[in-house]
Parts: sequence; structure tokens; C-alpha cells
Amino acid sequence: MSPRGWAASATAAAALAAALTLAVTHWIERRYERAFAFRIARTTAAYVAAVTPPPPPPPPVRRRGRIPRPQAPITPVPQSPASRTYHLPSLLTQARGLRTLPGWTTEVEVYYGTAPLVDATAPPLSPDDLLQLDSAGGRWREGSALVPLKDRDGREIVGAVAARPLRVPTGPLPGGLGFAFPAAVLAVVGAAVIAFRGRSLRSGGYVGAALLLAAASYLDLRAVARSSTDRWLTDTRRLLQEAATRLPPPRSRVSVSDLAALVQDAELVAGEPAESAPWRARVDGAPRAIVAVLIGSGRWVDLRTVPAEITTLRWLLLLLASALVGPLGILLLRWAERTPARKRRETAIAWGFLAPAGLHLLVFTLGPAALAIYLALPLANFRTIVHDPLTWLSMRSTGLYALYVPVSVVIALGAALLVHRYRVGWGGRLLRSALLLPYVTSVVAIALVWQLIDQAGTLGLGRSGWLSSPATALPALMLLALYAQLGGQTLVFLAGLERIPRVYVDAARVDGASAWRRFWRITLPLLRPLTWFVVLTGLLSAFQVFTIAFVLTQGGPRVLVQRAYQLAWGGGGGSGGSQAFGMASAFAILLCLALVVFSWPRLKLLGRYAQHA
Amino acid sequence: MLSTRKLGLGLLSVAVSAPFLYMVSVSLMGESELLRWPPPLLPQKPTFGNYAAALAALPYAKVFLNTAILAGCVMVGQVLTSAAAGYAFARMRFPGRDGIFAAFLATLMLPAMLLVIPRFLLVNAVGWVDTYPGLISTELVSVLGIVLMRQSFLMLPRDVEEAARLDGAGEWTLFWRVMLPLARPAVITLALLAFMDQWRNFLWPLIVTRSADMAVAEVALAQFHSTYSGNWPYQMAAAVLVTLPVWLVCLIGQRYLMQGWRITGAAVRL
Repeated sequence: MSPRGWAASATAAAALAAALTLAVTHWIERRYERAFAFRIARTTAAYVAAVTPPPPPPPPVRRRGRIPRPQAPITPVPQSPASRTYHLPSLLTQARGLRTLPGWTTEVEVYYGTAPLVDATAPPLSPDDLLQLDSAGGRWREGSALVPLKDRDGREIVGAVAARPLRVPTGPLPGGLGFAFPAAVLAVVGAAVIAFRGRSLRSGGYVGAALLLAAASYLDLRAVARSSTDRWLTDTRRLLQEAATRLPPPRSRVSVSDLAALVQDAELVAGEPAESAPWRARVDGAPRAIVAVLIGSGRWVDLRTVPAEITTLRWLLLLLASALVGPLGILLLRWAERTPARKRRETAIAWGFLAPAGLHLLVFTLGPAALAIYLALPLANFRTIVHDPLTWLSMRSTGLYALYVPVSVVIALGAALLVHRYRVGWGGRLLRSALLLPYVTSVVAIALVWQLIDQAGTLGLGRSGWLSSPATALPALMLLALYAQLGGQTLVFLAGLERIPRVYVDAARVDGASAWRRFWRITLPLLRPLTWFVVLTGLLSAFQVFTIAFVLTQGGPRVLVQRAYQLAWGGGGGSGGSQAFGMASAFAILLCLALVVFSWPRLKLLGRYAQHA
Repeated sequence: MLSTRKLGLGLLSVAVSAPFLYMVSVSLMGESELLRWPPPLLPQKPTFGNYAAALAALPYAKVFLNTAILAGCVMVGQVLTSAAAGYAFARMRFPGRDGIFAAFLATLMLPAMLLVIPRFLLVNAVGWVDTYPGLISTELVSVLGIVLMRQSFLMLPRDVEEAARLDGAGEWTLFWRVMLPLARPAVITLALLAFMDQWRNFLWPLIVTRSADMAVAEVALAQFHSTYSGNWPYQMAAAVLVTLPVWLVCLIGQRYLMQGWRITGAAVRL
């Protein structure tokens, strides 16, 4: 490739990455704007429903005679649906009034049936739109959020409210371009200058520019999220003040609970006089966006909601990834330019071989891990988990449970030393098969046998009932685990012992070393990495115990994974909501961090094994 | 002297497998036999009635089929993906190889509980809840399997590879026709480990399957336990039935199964 060609493709890669980052930013911003539009549309619908009176009662039907003639058809008298809907002229007034509210930032449209009320020349909805609203509860239609307008009892859909978010300019530049756009231009120009001058990108600072782009995009994103909350607060504040004067009489003082019914996903509490701009504060340790609303002479309330910008942190990863596409692409170009064709081919083939496993790990392991972090944010979830006594209770019982691991490893090592001599013959083979049994048996089956022995009282134990009593359930589980793990561990130590060259032991024996000395000086040091590996694997598996605890001790000692399962899916197995999944993910992340103590050294041992041989 | 040793080993084997012998013994008892005191160790009049009943009530055919599909597909999937990836890591040179291998290894630090929820959301989003793809798809790659296959490919001599190349074998032929057959012991080991692991998989099937039609061995057995709690002979018959396939396979492949000791550390997912 010619230098110019290379520089051109490097610039193209940088431009592509910048465009990708801008697109991602735009997409996320739209998400926040849409969420805001839906929210304000719902609030508006609730407001309209609350302040519009029912239609006046129909004029009484005059009848000629007291007794109707038998042959006269019985006319169906209009039933309650009419009285549940709205007085159309007032609805029209209320809807038009929305446009003239001072400080109102959103374009709203109220539909009665399919007909628009605010802007009468606007195209009407199609009947399908209303039908689909019924099942979906709200949907995005032609750039605006459409939510149903229910009748006064909240039963049937009589119309719809549409809200279109107007873009709020952000950033320091004129035209509201934000920070991201100038940063993107900067990154592309930077890459072009560096590439066409033939400098190394490493010294040129393009990576820094790409990171700057990610940071600028994040700032824009955060500003949009913040302003979406602010706009909802200011608009809702206007609606609440209107509602306070317009809620149907007889009512001299509007009650706070009536107003709170209009804003179901926010709190309304008595407050102090303040300025009209929203502010941020911590309420009971949780961040809140607040605005003060005047609802009567000298009566102030605070409207509080969760600020949207606390959820922006989860997008930072995505922005960083898309911004770094540029440097990575340029690196790839650089590599392709410098590498001979044969090596390029080998690399491509190797990637082909890696692709199935790599893609699977990306989709089913790394992706989910990132998703778990996304679910677990905001950080308040972690705080709740840490302050939850059940977390520490499950940690304690699992930690106690894990104490069986060193015991089982010591017994397994001893057993392996004893059995090691009888490698051949049917006795040794039989014992090996017997040791394999608990290692390969269905875990639930082992648990069931254990419970049977516990309840039926075989083997001279008496009907102990250990598993069903909370005080003894944990030791009983430990015994079960000890038994279940012992066989496999013994077999592993046997395999390890068989790999120790006989010459070492024989030489020591010739030198007159006692059996005890031979074990401490030769066998054990040679087995040390394996012993550590077995201990660490055993501990990791012990801290993740689930099946036996789940099957045997419903409501007994809750172990860690059981607690996480309970957080996510409740006790029974019903489906959890996003809040439940967030808590459970936060719990699992903390568990993962705590287990690094064991999983990191285990990884080192595995890595060391992979380097040998 | 020698025979007493053998006898001792035999007795030890019986002691180790006592719970399993007891499991089989109880499964042959009548329903009321365990109520006597002291509880009998052996059935008075062995009967296979429990087995016949458990076969129908479990329902065994369906559970066996589901578990076999799960274990079989995962076995094939893990062997293929691990062999391919292990081969690339062991026998090819490309930039970033060691870094990627380290990254693969690092995923082992993520505990299953962390992945279960987002994986469930993923499977749910695709509409795979309560289906075979949902059950199988997440398990198709095993990093430990990749390590195992990599070690096995590392041991193979360079001469074989060069001889095959001289004969004009392409990359794929070299892998599929030459190297993979040479790594057969590791392939069998990995297949057995995968089979055993999936036959006893509990947490993921518990979460991702709903209907009785999709129940796999462990979940069905736990369900059976709560339905027929108290009737031990019946439950033990079901337990024996559910465990039997994995017992047989693993006892036959015992020699190969234990070859994996370096990577498994012999920990049972309890």
C-alpha cells in the first residue's frame, strides 16, 4: 500500500469510528428523549382525565303515557359509558390550554377518539392506532409518544395523548451541537494530520483524541438525560399548578393526595417555598431531582423523582468501545501493511478456528457479564445489598459450610497415600470404581439418599432429623458435601501420585529416610501445586453450592447462590422484574469480587499448567 | 497376608459405596417396609414395582430424551469448539494469541450465578425460554475444554504436521484428518466430562425450563422428590433410574474421565 493510500484508509477508519460514536450517542439520547416523551404524555393524560368534567346528564326522556304500548320497540337507554367519558367542550378547552401554559416545553396533542383537539388541522389517528394502544399501553408513532387516554373510571380508551420532545440545545457551540460533534471532528482531523505526515499514531495522540470523543459524548448524553428529568419536572410543575386550580369543585383546598395521583412514578410531599428551577439533592441517601410547586396560597409541595442521569454511567462502556474502534482499526491496518501475505493468511485461518468459541464467549459470557454490570447499576443497589443483613447471613453460612473443604482434602490425600500402593489387582480397581461413584452420581440423587438416611435412621444413627432442624442442617450439608467430594479428590491425588517418578522415593529410601520423612520432603512438595489446585477448586465450588441446599433445606440455612436466586426469581420461581434482576446482579457481582481471592490463584495455577507440557 | 489386604480394599469399597447400595436396596422395598424399627437394610421381598411405577410417573422416557439431547448436543458442541480453539492456540502463530488465551482463561473467574441472570434475559429476549436451544446454547463452549485440547495438541510432534504438509494437506485436512484423530484420548475425556456435567446440570435448566415436557434429569428428580416426599422406595427407584445412564457411561469411560483431573480438580457442582 502506498503511504498516501495508507493515510487515506487510516483517516477513513478514524472517520468511521467517529461516526459510529456519534450514532451511538444519538441513539442513546433518543432513548432518553423518548422515555421523557412517554412520561410527560402519561402525566398529561392523567391531568386531562382529572380536570375534565363528565358530560352533563342527558335531558330526561319524555314519555307520552304512563303505560307504554306493548307493541312499541324498547329503545335502549344510554348507560353509564356516556357518563364515564368527558364533556367534549371542556376537554377541548383543557387541551388547547396546554399550549398556552407559560414555560411549557413539549409539543402535546390530545385526541378524542381519533380526532386531534389542539391542532384541528393535524391528521387524525387511524383506528388501528387506538386498537394497538389498547394492548401495548403506549407506543412510539411518527416521532411522538402516544399513550392512551382512558375514560374517567380508567376502563376504556376514549382517546390518546401524544407528546413530541423538542430538542434542547446542549454544549458550548452555537446551534446546540454539543461536545461530541466538535470532539469527533477533532479526532478525525487529528488522525488525518498524523497519518498524512507519516507519524506513528502511538506518538501522535490519536488514542487520546478518541478517548476525548468518548468523554465528550458521555457529557452530551448526561446533559440530555439531566435535561429530560428537568423538563419533566418543570412541565409537571406547570400541570400540577393548573390542576390545583382546576380540579373539579366542591373543593376549597386541593389535597396533596389528589395531586399525587397524577404523578404516579414520582413522590409529592409537603415542601418549602423555593425557586422554579429544579435541583438535585439526596433524600434518605438516594439521589433525587426535586422541584417546588405552589398549589395554593402559601402551600408548597416538593415534586421528587429519580434523576435520569444516574443511569447514564452504564452507557460509558458502549461509548468507549465505539470510540476505540478507530485506534483498533488503524492498528489492524498498520499490521496488515507490515505483515507478509503468508503470515496474514495464517492469522486469518487461526481466527477462523477461534471464531466459534470466541463468538460464543462474546455472546454468552462477556456480553452477559457486561449486561450484569448494566443491570446492577445504579450504585444504590450495591449499597442496599451491603446493608442487607440477609447478605451477611448467607455469607456466614456459606463460609462455615466451606470449612469442610480443607478437611476433605486432608482425608483425600491420606486415603490416596494409603491406596496408592494397590494399583493393580481387582481390589484396587474395585475401590477406584467405588470412589468414582459419588463423583459421577446425580447430585440430587445423593442429596435424596442423604435425606433418606437422615429420616429413616439407618446405619444405627437413629432418626436424627438433622437436615430439617435449622441448627444442625449446616453440619449435615457439610457432611454430605464431604462425602460427595471425597471420592473424586482421592482419585485426583492418586493420579498425581502416579506421576511422581519412583526414582525419587526409591533414592530416599536407599538413603534411609523414614516413610514420614519421605512424605514431608518428597511427596508433599511435589504434590503441592496439585493440592492447592484441589483446595481452591473445592473452595470455589463450596462457595457456589446451590443444588443440595435448594433441594434439602427449603428455608434452612440460605447459601449465597440461593440468596441470589431468591433475589432474582423470588422464593417460588415466578419471573422477576428488572429491579429484582438488578439486585441479584449486584449481589452476584459482589460475590464474584469476593471470590477473586480464590479464583485468581486458581487461574494462576491453571495458567502455569498450561505453560508446561 | 495378600488376601487380607484385598479383603480390606473390598470392604473399603463397600463402605464408600454404601449410600448407593442402600439406594438400590431401598428402591426394591415395599412402601411400608421402612416404617419398621429398626429400619431394614435389605428388602424382605425384593420387588421391581417401584421401578415400573417411577418409569411411568417421572415420565422417564421424556426426561431421558431431554437430558440425552442436552448432554449429547453439548458434548458434540464442546468437543468441536474446544478442539478448533485449542488447535489454534497450540499449533498456530498469530499476533495476540497469548493475550486472547489469557482472556479466555480469565472468563473462568466469572461465577455461574453472575452469568445466569443476563443469560436468562438474553435467551428470553430471543424467545428461547423453555426450548431446547435455550437449554443448550449457553453451554456449547467450555474454556476448560479448550485448555485440555490445547495441552493435548501441544504434545503432538511437529514431524507429523510437516509430513502431512509435504503430502499437500490443507489447513482443514491437517486439523480434521491428522491432528484431531491423534488427539483422540483428550477428545474422549472432554466428551465424557461434558456429558457428565450436563447430565447433572441443575441451576440453568431449573431457570430456563418451565414445563414438565422440558424437564431434564436433575430437575425432574427434584420435582419427583417434592411430589412423592415420604415414599422413599419410590423416590429411590427414580433416583437410580435417573443416575443409571451417567453411572454406566462414566464407569466404562473411567480411565478417560480421570485424565481430566488436571483441569477439573475433581470438584462436584453440588
